[in-house]
Amino acid sequence: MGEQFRRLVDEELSAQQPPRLDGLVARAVGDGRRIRRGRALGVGSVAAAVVLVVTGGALLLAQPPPPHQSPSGVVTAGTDELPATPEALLELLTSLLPQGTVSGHAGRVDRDWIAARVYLNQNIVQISVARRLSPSPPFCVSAPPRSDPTLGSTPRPDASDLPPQLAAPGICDLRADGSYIQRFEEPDNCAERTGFDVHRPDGVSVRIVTGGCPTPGGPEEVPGEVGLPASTAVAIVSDSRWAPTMPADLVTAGVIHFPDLPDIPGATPG
Amino acid sequence: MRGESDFVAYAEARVARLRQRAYLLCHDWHLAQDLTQITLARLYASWRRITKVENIDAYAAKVMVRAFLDHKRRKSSGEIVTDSVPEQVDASTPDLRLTLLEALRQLAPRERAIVVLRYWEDHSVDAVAEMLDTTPGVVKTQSMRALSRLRTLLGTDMAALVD
Repeated sequence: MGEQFRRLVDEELSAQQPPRLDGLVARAVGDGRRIRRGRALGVGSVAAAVVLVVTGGALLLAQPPPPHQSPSGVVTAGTDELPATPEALLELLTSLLPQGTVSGHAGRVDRDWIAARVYLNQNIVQISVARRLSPSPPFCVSAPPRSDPTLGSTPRPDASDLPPQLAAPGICDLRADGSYIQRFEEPDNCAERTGFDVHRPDGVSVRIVTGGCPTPGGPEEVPGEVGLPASTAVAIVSDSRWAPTMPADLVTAGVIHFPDLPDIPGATPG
Repeated sequence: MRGESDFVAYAEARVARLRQRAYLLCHDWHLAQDLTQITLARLYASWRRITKVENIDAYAAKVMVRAFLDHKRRKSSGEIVTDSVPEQVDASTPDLRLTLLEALRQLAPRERAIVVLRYWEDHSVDAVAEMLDTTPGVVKTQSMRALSRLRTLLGTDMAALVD
């Protein structure tokens, strides 16, 4: 075991066709500077976690769909964007939420999607960003409303402030920027009672979910209280910053503000 | 070697080899690219301190292996998009014998890291134990287990490589 092993490994490695190394060192220097700046702010370990989070799974979301993966498309260091993380989603989500009591921060990274959840006034608000395999938006079919306002003890969000095409779930509305928005309802699913999907022409889908599940350890229900007005949910889910890569300041601030983020149990991308 | 230009010179000289190590660990060139970038970024961030370290290459290996194992511990790490599917081959069938890289790929991540560090990079047992934050005894045990597995996977001819 030794020289012969090394030689054969090197031979097999030389037969491989790796992607080009273009700019890798420069990107590493950029990342290293960010880590240094974080340390200078007294959050060195947290800033380093940005890099770990980047490699941990968000990178998969940031990659274009196979087989056309960009060799260096994983980390967009050197620009002002970084692969999205649950912490970055939370940073943006909490900045967009209306005033209220926010608790229960959680996040999740999966292969093709990433999500973050909070409880606003003890009602779930969850955002997820996914990359579609198909360029055309899914689920975009007309369907009659199927929700029953009497279902469950948690009230449905008031949709009276929405345009008519979004008042009923299941119907897609094509918007000026080429994206579709669709309202959905899951009356039997406490955690995902209702929400909106935005399917963008760049292949990214964003979902916001507003649920009626009570905060863990909190009161059972808050009758009559709605966590998020429907128009606010539409405004949040329509924000163009939801993407597989997000502004670097959001990614960094997210890791600083939400260290040790717990996992969302049983989360699905929607 | 204290300034940025020194770091860049070091990184440019090592980047290809670093990425090869990363590939041997993860068997995915895109992830290998990331692991290399993360390793270099961390080296850059601590460059002044690291230049006082006797063996920068060993330090870089430690950073990379820990980043790799951290990555593998994450839930999503088993879902890496790759260009190829690992072959599950009966080593007793000569025509279907694995290459050495494919055999390495079938080891557990920690065992694979030990084999790469010990036998491809020729680090000592003590050095590998320090890199993996474990004891030399554990490294020896896992080395033996990994080599035994490689022998089984590689079949009779190539098994001599790992004797």
